Amino acid sequence: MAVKGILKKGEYYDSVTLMLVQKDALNIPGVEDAAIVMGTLQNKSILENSGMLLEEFKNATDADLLIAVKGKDDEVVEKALKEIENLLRKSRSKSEGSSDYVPKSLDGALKIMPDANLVLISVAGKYAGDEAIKALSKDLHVMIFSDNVPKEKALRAKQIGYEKGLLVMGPDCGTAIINGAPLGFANVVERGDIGIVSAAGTGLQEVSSIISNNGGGISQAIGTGGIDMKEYYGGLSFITGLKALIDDDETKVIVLISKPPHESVLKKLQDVLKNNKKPVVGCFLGANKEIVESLGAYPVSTLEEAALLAVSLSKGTSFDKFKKEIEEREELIKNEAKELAKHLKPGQKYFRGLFQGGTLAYETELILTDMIGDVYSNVPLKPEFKLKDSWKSEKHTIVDLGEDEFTVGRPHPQIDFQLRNKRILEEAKDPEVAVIYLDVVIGYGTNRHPIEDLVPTLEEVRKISNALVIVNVTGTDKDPQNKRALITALKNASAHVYERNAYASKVAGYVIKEIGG
Amino acid sequence: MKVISVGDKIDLKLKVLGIHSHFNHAINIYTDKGLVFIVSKDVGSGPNSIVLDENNLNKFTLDDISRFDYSFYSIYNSSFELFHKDLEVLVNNLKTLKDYLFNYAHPLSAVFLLDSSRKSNFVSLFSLNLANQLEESFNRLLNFDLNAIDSLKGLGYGLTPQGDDLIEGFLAAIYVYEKLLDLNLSSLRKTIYDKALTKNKVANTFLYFTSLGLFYERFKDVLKALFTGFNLEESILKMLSFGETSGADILTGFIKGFEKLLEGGNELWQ
Repeated sequence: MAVKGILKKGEYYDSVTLMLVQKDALNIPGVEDAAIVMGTLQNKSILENSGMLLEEFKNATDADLLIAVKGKDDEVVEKALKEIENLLRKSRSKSEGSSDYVPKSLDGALKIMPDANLVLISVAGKYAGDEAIKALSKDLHVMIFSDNVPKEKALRAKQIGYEKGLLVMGPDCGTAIINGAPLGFANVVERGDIGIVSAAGTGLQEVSSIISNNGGGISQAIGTGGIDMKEYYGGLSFITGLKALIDDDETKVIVLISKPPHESVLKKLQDVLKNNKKPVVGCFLGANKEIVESLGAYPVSTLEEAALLAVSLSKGTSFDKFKKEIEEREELIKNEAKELAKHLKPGQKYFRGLFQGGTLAYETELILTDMIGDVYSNVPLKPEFKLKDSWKSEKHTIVDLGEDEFTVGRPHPQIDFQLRNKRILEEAKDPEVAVIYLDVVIGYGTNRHPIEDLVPTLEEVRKISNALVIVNVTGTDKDPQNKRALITALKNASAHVYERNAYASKVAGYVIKEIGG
Repeated sequence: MKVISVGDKIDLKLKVLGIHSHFNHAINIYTDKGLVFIVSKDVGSGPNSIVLDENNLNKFTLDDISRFDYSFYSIYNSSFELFHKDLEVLVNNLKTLKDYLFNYAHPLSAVFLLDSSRKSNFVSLFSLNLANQLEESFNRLLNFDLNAIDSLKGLGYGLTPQGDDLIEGFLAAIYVYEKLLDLNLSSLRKTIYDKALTKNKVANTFLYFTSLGLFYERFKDVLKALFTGFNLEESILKMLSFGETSGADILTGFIKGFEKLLEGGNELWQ
């Protein structure tokens, strides 16, 4: 056995370089052990314990690099030392050259991926606008995940995108699926011929998931961020997205999702859709159907209807047939609700919805207001029904836990269930609560372990309350969380589980009607 | 070369004495005021860092310093104040931090102290001895046996050996813990720093600032994210992103230290 080494005065390498070279040295035939470390007292002591502390190393300082090799004979060790020196030299020239270039900027990234045509921007909001403008100047599409982007910069980016026909998704755009690639929070959906442009994040997730779960597929799902439909931004990104879908040969059916757009935006949409030949489903939650019809689009009132109608159109079935099916289904929901209501005790009368998704909360609010009257909320449909304290429910209440008041100092509720879990238990302790309603949005970017993080709380609820727990799961079977296992676990915890928010909301609404709440 | 940020502990009247070490993204400079780190913008700021609007400092020479363009720069604030004292939030985010370390940290980083199965990555006798020594010494330090620092400092690979990084993380944990509980453990931090000094000036510099509760931007961003939840993933990955184990080692020291403090309270150091 031979042990030899080299001492290099004042040479520094980062730790990974040293570890990797050491690993390579260990693969040299005949080498039994190798160490490449700085000459600190402590490292020398380890070398000694490993039988590799050479005489010449004893006076080495913290600033000296020690290379020691133990091998079967002198020849092997000499050869290994040379190889190690070569590897260290190569590692240095490699990191100094451009062949192993790790991009730290847009220009750098384009060097190694010159065909890329979309930039996802997730930097601090104050810089995101400039980055977006920079990307657009290079004719690249942009998704701005960041929020708090200065208004002027965001508008300028949208204007440039509009003028150049480039997508500017965002600011504050959480989800999109472009050419099958999920961006931000997104679900694993089937590919197909239905294109979506959406100014509502969880709305896009709900619709794309239901489409995928019901035999349809997505060509493109373009998010724009909710602010895009405001007068200031003029729906510029939404319109660019819509134009892209009209021009896209792979898209046969178009779905539009948003809260009611500003009048000026609506006018622009009418102009764009004037000569469009593709069927369009208009889901402007809370808007009159005349508004949608003015666009030449099929009006729907829920995300679920938008998805199911899009699938029907994609498969060539008629709008009238679809309407008939939706109407007939209402009886089924009523009967289901009647059965559920039998489990409740006198005195239980209120609905409490605790939401992760803003669009889903809004949709449920619209449905329930229509069915059981006004609902209190931190994001109410009418100002007089704003909760005095968002942390405390009143009568029928819907809380959007994704609002800033809940997320300051905490992760988004789609990621962290902790805050909602606490609130679920609070609601369960209220003897007047009849229905606790929850959404669970799965997919990329959301909580990876919804079973572990939610089910124990629902089991606690069972111990203290008779309230019905209704859960809507938004997502697909291909999502990473294992939707089937999640649904089974929720059902085992006595939750009533649905896969469409509108359907689940109607069940809840009919339950409340049934008990006269 | 345009300067975009200057650390709050840098006196710009410094006199440059020479280059200590040179990497692609960082040049460590001897000055009459101590070490100053000249770094590219992707490395980020620090109390003693000058950040240039450059991505690569390969061709940097000392002559360039006289040509620095200081027409516009910000002063980096290296101090860290807690956003709130909700321990539950912090503990919950620490869980996420651990997940990221398990998934993304280098196999030979000190993360094996959090997940013992990672020890199987240490195959040679030398690296296994080193891992064992790190484990033994750091566990002693966690129990406030400050003599353990003698065998921990300088232990490991690279310019900032893993032992020093673990100590740095531990110092940060003490700082955060005392802020949470309104304690003053500055003399304890000073003792640890004094004992951890070696001839490695770079490691000493990192330890010095951390012992004062002053943080480099990458670490500060993680600390901020642990309290706010914002950009948690981004900040952790950035801390782990520079091809070295230091980020993972510091975070491991922080997690282990913080968990131990929570578990043992003031009985540990009194």
